[in-house]
Amino acid sequence: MALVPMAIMLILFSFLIYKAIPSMRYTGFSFFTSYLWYPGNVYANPISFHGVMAPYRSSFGLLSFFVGTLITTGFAILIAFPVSIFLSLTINLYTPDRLKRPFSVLVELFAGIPSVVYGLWGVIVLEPVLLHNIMPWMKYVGFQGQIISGAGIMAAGLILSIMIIPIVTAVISESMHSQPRELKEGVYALGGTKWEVGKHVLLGNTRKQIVGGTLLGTGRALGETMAVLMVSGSIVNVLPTSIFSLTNTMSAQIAAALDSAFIDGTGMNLSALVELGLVLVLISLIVNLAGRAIVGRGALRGFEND
Amino acid sequence: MTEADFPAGRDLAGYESKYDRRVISDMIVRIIGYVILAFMSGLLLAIVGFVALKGLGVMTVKMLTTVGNTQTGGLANAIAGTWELVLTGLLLAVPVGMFGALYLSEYSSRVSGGVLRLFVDVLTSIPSIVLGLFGYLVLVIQLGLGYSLIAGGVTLGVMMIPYVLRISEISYSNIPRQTREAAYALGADNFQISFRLLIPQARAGILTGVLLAVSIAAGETAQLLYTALFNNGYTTSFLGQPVAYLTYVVYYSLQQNTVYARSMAYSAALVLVTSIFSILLVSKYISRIR
Amino acid sequence: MNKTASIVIGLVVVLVIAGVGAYVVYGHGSSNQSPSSKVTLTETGSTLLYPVFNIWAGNYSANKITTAGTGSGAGISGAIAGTVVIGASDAFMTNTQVQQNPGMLNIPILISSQYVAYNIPGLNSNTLHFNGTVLAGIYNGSINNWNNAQIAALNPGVTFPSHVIVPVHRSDGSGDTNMFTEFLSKSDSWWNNNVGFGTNVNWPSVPAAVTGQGNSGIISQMTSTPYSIGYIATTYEAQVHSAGFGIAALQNQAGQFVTMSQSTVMAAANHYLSQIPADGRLAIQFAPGNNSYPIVDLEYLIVKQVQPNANTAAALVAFLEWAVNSTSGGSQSKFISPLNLAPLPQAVVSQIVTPLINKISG
Repeated sequence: MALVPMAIMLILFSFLIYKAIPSMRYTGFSFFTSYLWYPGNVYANPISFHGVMAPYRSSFGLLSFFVGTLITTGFAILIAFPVSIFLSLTINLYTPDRLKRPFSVLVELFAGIPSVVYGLWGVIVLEPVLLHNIMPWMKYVGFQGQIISGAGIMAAGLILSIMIIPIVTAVISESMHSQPRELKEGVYALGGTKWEVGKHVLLGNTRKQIVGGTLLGTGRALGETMAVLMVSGSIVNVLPTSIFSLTNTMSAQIAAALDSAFIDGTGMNLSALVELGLVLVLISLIVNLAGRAIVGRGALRGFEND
Repeated sequence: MTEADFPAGRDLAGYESKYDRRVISDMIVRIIGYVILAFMSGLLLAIVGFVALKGLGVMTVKMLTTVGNTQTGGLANAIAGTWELVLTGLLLAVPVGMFGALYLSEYSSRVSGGVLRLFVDVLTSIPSIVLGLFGYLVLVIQLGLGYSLIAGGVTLGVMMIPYVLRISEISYSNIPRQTREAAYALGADNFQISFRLLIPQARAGILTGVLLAVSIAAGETAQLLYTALFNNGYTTSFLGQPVAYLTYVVYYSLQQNTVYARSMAYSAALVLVTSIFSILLVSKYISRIR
Repeated sequence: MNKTASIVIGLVVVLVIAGVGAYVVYGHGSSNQSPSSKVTLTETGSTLLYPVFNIWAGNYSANKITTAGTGSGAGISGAIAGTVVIGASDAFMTNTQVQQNPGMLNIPILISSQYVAYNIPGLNSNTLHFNGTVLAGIYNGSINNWNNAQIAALNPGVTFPSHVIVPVHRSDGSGDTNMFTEFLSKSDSWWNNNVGFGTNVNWPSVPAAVTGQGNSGIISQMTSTPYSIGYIATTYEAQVHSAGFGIAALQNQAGQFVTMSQSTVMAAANHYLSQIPADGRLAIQFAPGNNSYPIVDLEYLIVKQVQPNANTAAALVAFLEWAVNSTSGGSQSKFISPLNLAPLPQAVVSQIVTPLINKISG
């Protein structure tokens, strides 16, 4: 039974690679350098290139989705990182013991909300607020660019940050909690304030876990599909020009473009999406395994091992 | 003794000014922390409150008891389908997780355990849309299972394995070594130890893992889009019929832009969040009394 | 583990089993009301046809129809792979797909049309005039403000605001995009030479452009984005009206500005229907004739010629014959008129559709 996960993963990787080969032959290295993702005219006669068939004038480059993934994930980390650290410090330093448990349960419930529900909230509540209240104000204080819609980089980044804060907070808070009592007591004995305990013991000794927790959060943000699909604006072939721009991510593009790929009789569109998925898996693997290596094996989403 | 028994420095050291820089920075951090904590709690409350208010405002008994198609009707088929998919997933995830963890915890060598655990970690890292793509290509098309309970459930099950396995493994390894040694001393073989001792002792932990996996699986969408598809009625067989599920209703009905379809999306979100929170709280309770 | 834990676990297990059991039994219960000899015909595909299929599924009692609106691509590929019995599609199969899958049938079933809608605060109650050239200009960025002279020239007496135009197009591949871009290609030579038409085209880069997934995605983007313009299947009329968009009159090949109606759609379709080839595949946009609405399309059901068994084949044939029947079947106006779909004329049904349906075997 322990072999099953390994077997599934081996089948998954070999199948994805096998299915991505036509796209690799057709696009070559330009898959990584082009930002044009164009399914081609599937009703025209297909062309043959490097021994594979593809729709007329089709071209596949992941750059705009890669940039979108990078920006939305970066935006999410930028918010989630400080917030999670302050949350962990507050829970560990300034919260009475009897409130710690309810807070940790709250954090877990936060993580349990399905991504489509975050997406629903994003579409109905967050997007209008961004469009009518926040974006005009940002423009007033000096942000450049054209406001088009509530959807886009900000909506996707904010939703992602709300989704990963529980994960990052759980890892950091847990590792702060497990710092030896003697170290904390030592600082207090020297006349230290709570913040000094936080700074020297809690932050000082958990740098690794802070990085690890952030990586695990990053991994989650990279792969998140539905919420981003609902609030990103799903733009194609355009690189963002400002913080108000619409965007798209690798995972959301797979979900959005899968259907039109099925119309392509040459199968090239599907193959290109599989290659996009493969790249996403590789990035996600590196980030997650690095995070896991630092944090240790117990944590899945950070807090299941208590 | 807790930290509270050690008063902060300024109280101990009377010669320090009340407006010492150190005290002020402590205050600032405390205030920022409280503000963020309050803000995040408020945000959770806002999201949950949004779902509750919108959902309760449109929820009817008819919504819960009639079948629907994301544009008209109710959620009964989607509720039933969600649990059918999750249970089918458990058929894969529970045996693999429970026995896989038993092997890893009790019988694996350093190397084999390390390699197998690495693949479990790899499995957790696969984004759900890629699992969905894989489910479509392999289960739906290659194996010819079609859009079905099997295809959707197995794709969900693959995602659930790591949660069941990891938490089961922790539960096994929390069983004291002496218990096992005592059993061996009484002449028990590996089979008896596994089934009579370890699994019963770890069952609360295993159940926690299962419930956690269920709570996550019930909220998944991307794996199911092209494996379970959707069904405007009940799904009554493992093969040959697509399956309805709640997250699809949230996603798809929202896009319909009609007042009724929106109310279906809100109701589906409310049912989802209520179920998931209940499952999580039960799992919390079990892991606490363990 | 203590007693409380056992009790809680026991309770949970019982609850879960009971709950699921109840649902499954409930499910079986309701399906038992109908004889078990019924065949389930699974459908997926076009979001344009999804509302029709939901109506059909509720009104067709001979067999059970399951529906799912995924997109035309999933409809075609699902029918080819045999994962669904019926693939609904706004577009017929490509030549490549036909060569690879000679056993598939493209059965024309209904006539659909498309709105060009706009959300311009203050002007949504006006019927604004557009032609292919101006729309091509808007979608390639050369006409980027509503106060552009070319737009004003088509709409004498209307005062346009000075605001950037937000063109909205589909992010997913779709028959709707195919219809719209084919209209642009046939009426504007720049568009024809530089962009062309298809289910997804290489959209010129317009800084203000917005995309949406599915017809609903277009509607929600336009709702939240004032000063936008987009193309929407007329089956979504209810949503277009509740969103309060304006609907354009479009210039046809004869130079007339016409709005969508049953008669203008049929006028356009009648110019082409006699030309439908035996395999059913034909594009019918931008028809000649003074009264022809320019964005009109045939909707298709894609099915396997050889079904897995005789029961399914018989059920499918019966359903298709019912669906295309405009007097007592699925194409009667009480089902399709509210969705702005038009039935195929009797001549087309007897000459093209029935021979195609009769090819189905089990």
